[in-house]
Amino acid sequence: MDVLPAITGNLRRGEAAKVAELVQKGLDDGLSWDVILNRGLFAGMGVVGELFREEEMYIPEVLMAAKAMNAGIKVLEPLMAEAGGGKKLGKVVLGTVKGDIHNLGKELVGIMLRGAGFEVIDIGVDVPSEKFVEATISEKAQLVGMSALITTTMPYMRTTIEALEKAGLKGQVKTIIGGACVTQQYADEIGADGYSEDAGAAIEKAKELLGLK
Amino acid sequence: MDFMERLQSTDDVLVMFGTMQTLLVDEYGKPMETHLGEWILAHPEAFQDSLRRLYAAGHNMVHPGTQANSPFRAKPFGVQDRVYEFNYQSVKLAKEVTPENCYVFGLVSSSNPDWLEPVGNMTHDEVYNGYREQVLPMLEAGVDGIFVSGNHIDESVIAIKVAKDHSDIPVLAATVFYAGKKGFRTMTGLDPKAASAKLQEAGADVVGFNCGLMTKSLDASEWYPAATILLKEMKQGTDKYLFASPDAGLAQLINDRTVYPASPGEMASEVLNWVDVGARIVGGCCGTSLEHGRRVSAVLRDRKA
Repeated sequence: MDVLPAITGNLRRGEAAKVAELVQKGLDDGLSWDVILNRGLFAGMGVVGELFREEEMYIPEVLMAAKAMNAGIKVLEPLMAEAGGGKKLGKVVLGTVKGDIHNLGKELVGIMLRGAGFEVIDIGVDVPSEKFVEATISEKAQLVGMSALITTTMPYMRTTIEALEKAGLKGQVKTIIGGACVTQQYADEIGADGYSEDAGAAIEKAKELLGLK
Repeated sequence: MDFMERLQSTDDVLVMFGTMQTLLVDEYGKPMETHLGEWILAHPEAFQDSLRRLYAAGHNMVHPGTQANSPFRAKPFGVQDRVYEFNYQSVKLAKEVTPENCYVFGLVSSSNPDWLEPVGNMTHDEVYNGYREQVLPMLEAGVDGIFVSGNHIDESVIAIKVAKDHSDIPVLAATVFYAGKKGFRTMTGLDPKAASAKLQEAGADVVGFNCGLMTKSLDASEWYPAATILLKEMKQGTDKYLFASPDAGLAQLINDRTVYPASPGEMASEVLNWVDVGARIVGGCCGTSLEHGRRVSAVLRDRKA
């Protein structure tokens, strides 16, 4: 059982190869994949999220920890696939809106949500509303997250929300927005279901929006 | 007068204009979605007109909108084959309308959407080579200096080295700080003293901060004074000339219009404090208008009188 703290510790330090090795060791020792996933990898990512919120860890370290988490998940993937993928908290489509190529904030949100057990489909940057709608429908997502760094691209959040409504998805899908200049007030103004001030807060907000709290 | 000589043999404080793209979008019809370098080359008269106005408003340093002219930033727009041309021509066009006592500094910025590892997937060599593709044509076009800016200080270190490996021209290096629980930190977690030391060590001739502050908790009236605090902290890590270039507050979208809360008057009131700390180049990033520059250069002129 002591392989689990070793996994969380190495994940926090961004040691991808070591995490992959330890995950394999855990399996060899007889631990089930979902115990390793939840009490090793996701637990480690949860600590990272906390430290990031406390400003004890910074973006490059968080990204390295995420790479370590993904290296661990890769080892578990064949077993997860066999078992039908494992229970996910929900499916989230994430993108930076049309005209905006800023990606770091969105990536961090994706990492945090994945680490909390959500399935995240990142559809990239400069995403037009049609693509948000398409992805939401084809992936059967419950939550759509939109990012914009600058005020000039924020209006596309409103456009996308309107497009989702027009596609008949209102009520089936929740929307959450974020970005440096985004505020709760703006979210209310454009009819977004939620707003998150940073990647760490996104986890709780996502759970709340999907009725998981 | 040569740029470094100007800094060394006078006590002049230079005013840099930092929001080329915004000016071209707001007043010259550049669409937001169009690549900046591509647009400038397609509209040389508009570009030169904007520069003439900047100089007339009292700025004496400009960057000719080259921040998107790296192969990294050109690629998403499909114009990476024109990187040489974009950088060369933008500098050439700017130099043509630049008066004797003013300076054109080629801006080299962050590599997003991909980044230097571990933030992204690019290696040191890929980033170095990409910046070199930008810097060489700028040098050939007769640029007065290189202005290295951007969110990722480790990329900035590479850009400074590219400039210094290929020329002797001055390098102005600025990085971005965020105001958090522990004070000002870069994206990578460096405090101002460590960040300025890093930029100096990489070879920068002028060290400072650009953009950022990026906090929702500062009131507009506290914004420029916060920049003074930041500058003082940076000074602890460097003995180079300093550069201050904050945003004009955190942008708000109000009734679909972008409003930057920190005014030209507020900037003009604070700028002499930056000079007292040691700033020899001042300017502003996002939200900083021609009027900010006009008011600041007036204050600096009066100081000399």
